[in-house]
Amino acid sequence: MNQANNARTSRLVTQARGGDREAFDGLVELYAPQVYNLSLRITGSPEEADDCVQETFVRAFSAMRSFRGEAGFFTWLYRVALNVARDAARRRAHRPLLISELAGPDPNQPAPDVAELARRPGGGGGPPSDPGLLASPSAGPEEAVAADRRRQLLLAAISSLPPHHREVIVLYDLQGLSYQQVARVTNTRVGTVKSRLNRARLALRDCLAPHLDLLRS
Amino acid sequence: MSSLPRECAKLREHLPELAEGVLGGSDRARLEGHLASCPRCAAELADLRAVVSALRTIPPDPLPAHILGSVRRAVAGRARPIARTPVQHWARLVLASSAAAVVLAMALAFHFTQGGVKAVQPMLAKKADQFGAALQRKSPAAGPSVEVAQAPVGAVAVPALPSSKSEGHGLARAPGPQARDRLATGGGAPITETPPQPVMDAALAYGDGVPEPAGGGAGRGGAGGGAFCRRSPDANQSKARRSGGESAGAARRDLRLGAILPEATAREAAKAAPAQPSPPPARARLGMINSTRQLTITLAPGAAAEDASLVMRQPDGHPLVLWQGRLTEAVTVPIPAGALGGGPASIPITIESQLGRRQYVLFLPVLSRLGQTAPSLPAMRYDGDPLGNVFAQLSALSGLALLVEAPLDQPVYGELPAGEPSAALARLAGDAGFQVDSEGEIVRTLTRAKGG
Repeated sequence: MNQANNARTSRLVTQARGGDREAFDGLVELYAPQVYNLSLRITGSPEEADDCVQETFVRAFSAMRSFRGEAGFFTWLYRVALNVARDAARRRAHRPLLISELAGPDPNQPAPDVAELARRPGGGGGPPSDPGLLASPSAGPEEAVAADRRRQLLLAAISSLPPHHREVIVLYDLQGLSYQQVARVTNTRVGTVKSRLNRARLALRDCLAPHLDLLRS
Repeated sequence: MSSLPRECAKLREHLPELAEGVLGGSDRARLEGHLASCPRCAAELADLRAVVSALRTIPPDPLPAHILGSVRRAVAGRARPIARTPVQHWARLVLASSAAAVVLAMALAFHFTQGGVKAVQPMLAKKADQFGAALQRKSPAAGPSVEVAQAPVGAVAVPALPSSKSEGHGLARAPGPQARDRLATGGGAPITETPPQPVMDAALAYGDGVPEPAGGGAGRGGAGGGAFCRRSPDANQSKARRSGGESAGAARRDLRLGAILPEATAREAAKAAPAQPSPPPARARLGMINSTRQLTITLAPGAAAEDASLVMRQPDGHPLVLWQGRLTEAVTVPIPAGALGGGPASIPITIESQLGRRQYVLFLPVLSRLGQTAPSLPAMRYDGDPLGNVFAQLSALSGLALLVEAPLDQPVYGELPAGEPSAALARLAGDAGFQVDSEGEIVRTLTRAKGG
């Protein structure tokens, strides 16, 4: 199955490098979900992720000639996507907020916790969550609510990480890339990836410390 | 972390790998040996296992249905052809070379013909005249086209802002240390230094209008006791020309940047400025939002008490009244916590009174959660977002917050068309006398550049 996929990808890549638009469309269908999720987790905004996916594939199509196949197409595409998402995240982080984005439930609360962050634009990321996403199909409403809360907490905690740490968590833990792939995508060494991943997880653990019982439940 | 024993701190680095089950060799053996005798690290390992396990359960979000189609359209519409045949490539080279040769030949022919010389002479003479006039304008004897005064960093004031669309407009601002350097070295305009003052309040002046002198677009230095960074009439005229005529120029001035100047400095500047029609006096001072998220509005000295309100206007137009009452001396208004969550924030504010009503957008680079105050706030550069970039820089340079006047019947910044943030930025910054390069960086802080 994997080999068949690889063969199909190779064929599509070869054709797309020759300017075959349909072949490139095939690559878009294959990789758009991953690119979307990567963009979503990096930018924290579905709208930004939407734009990022478009931009990623436009750039990729324009640069197909420069893809020489030394790295896998997937890795190369992820690298493009990560750069696009980084730019978008930077823009988003520095954009003045609308008043509608500012109000929290308690104006006098000194500092928001991760749960509050999750409710803010750019905080948790992703569309309104499906309560059943982390719950088993047979879970009751209570478990579904708890699962939604867990998801929000985790995403908010991830989004609160520094960019480099967030990236390795997203690529390794959420997207399932290997150390080597993460290193290629982020243009770093494997040792650096491991080190960042460790620190990111420790930071997550510290950030989520008040909610660990919920995560274990 | 610092309270951790040295061995724990050293081995803690490997805990995530052990939690994931990928740690091997001697590191694993050493860590497991340590865990057997250290309940603290063992507990932390359990926590990490919970976190890693939970991370792996986050499912991917489904791809929105419209994305595939929009990507295809984007690729079809924006991407250039990726493969060229050698023939196409050579054809392009030949065409480009031919075009260059033709242009060069025409230029040489024009240069060496008598007609060409005759045509060039008046043009050169005109340019020389313009250059001489510009030099005269710039010379100290002739007076600067722009006057800039130094305000203490952290002091916030608001200049008078003209409300009539036919008015000229200027900029009053208080540059911070970085701006001082740039001003001192950048343009050569005189800088009126006043000693820093520990004032933290601000003067809010209402730009109720200064008649425009004949000739169009006059500067309004000193207007409202706050504006004394003045653009010359020439500058405004050239600006109007650039914007495609008077109506276009007026439209560009719908949003104006306020400035941040202490009242004392503003008074000095008003005295130094050439005689202009007297502006209406400031009626209230708008203070900075402090670290406890409070904004103080103070009645200006000599101003009569009046009914007023402080309104946050939300993007849908629904007003959120933060305070309403009789402004006799001062009132302190709490600002929602989210506004100070770090990074620039914008708060549309409408100041209403019996005598007038103005809407502003308050931009806050406030980092109160980090315990930073304005004087220690570094100049910020925000790459990639020209609009945020300019406002952040202006805010940082000027102290703490910026007010942007916005007409009541037009959308405020937060609702500007999403498609052209750069154009909107260019208008805003241009009206304030700033120039913005293609990357959104403020490249010059003197309005005189436009007049020269």
